[in-house]
Amino acid sequence: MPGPTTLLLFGEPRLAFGETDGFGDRDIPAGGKRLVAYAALHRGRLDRRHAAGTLWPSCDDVRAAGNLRSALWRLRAGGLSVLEADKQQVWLRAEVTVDADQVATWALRLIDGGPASDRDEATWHRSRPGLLPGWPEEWVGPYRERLRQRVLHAMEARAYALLAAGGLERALTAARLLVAAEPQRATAHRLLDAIDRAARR
Amino acid sequence: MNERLTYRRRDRPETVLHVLEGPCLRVRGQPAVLPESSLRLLVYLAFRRRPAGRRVVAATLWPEVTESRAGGNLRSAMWRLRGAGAGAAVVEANGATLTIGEEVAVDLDNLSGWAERVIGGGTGPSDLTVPDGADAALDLLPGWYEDWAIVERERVRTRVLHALEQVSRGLSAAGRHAQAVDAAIAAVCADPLRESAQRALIGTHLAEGNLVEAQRTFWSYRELLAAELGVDPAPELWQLIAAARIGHLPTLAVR
Repeated sequence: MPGPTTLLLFGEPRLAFGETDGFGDRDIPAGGKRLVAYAALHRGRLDRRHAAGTLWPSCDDVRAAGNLRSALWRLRAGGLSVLEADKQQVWLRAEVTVDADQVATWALRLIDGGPASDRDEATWHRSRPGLLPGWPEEWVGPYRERLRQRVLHAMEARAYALLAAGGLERALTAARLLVAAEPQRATAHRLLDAIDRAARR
Repeated sequence: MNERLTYRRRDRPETVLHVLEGPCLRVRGQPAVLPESSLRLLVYLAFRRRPAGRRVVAATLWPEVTESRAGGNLRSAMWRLRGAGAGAAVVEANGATLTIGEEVAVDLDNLSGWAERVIGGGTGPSDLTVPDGADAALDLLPGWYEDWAIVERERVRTRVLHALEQVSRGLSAAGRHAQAVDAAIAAVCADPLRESAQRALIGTHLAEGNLVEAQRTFWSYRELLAAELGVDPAPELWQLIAAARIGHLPTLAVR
């Protein structure tokens, strides 16, 4: 497959090929989605037995291992080489980028005082659906919340940085996005107040 | 953390045993091709941290075979490790005892050192962070089911969870709320039923003034506890939320 491969997790898992968004996206076969998502959230290598037990908790070991084998097979049959596996382990190929990781890195950079960029809002909008929206799996929820909090804090940090640099309008835009998304978040309102005060000065 | 481990860390080791991802042994960055039995031996010795008798090692790693067979397995695992390190031996045999080679660094040591310092309360500003590998340390070698691996997994996990909770409080106190929330959520991810982790998370939300986030955390924890264990959160947790509510009402009224 040509160009970089990105695994998209802010929706049903899909693969994007090449640099352009929406160019050559591919669905992941239903039988392989959960395994790919699980491998992506658990960086590094997964023990096959452990992963199978988590993904198919109501099956016995043999059955769960069989399900994992068939998930790998479905991915290969669909021509998607995102996972690699040996007898003991499964892992995401090093060449595959995960959009959730990109967003997490972006957020941490802003939280650590990194400069605001014009592309921040696009990243924010990309992450808004949340990680694997609607998936009830126990192993998804905490990751989803962790990323959500990171993104919210990142946007707050960005708005404060813009405000400090005198970018009142851009700070206000960011603050409004935040308050619209999370109307009950006190820190978002505090941010809006700070911008108000600065504007009246 | 003993002195030897600290010394190793500073030394830019050429041979590193990775247990946080892998497991694998890397020599000058390159993974060494080793059979699983050799890796198990290395990891066992790394976890043990002190010399172990050959017979104990053999019986622990191969409990289901005869003593002589286990001894043979151990010899062959050691044979495959010959020349695996960069120069010095990765397993040192001293008479009837074995230890992991002096030159072998273990990736877990950095993290354990951080956890010990944090729990001991001797944290400098550089420890007020969540180091790389903390997530992996919360579920060490997940596919290894031997007793000695399970014991070490639990030990490391408990230490790291404690450290994360502690660090989240430190970060809140330092006004670094985003990092504080992140550290506490890392603990919650690893063990959603753990009350001290949930309390730490609620605490970070409250420290930042995010009452609604704190309440939401509380209610979802309450739901989880009811579904999984059929119990209610401890009274202290209720009080934490109730006190925060009262404390914050005036602020909310202003808005």
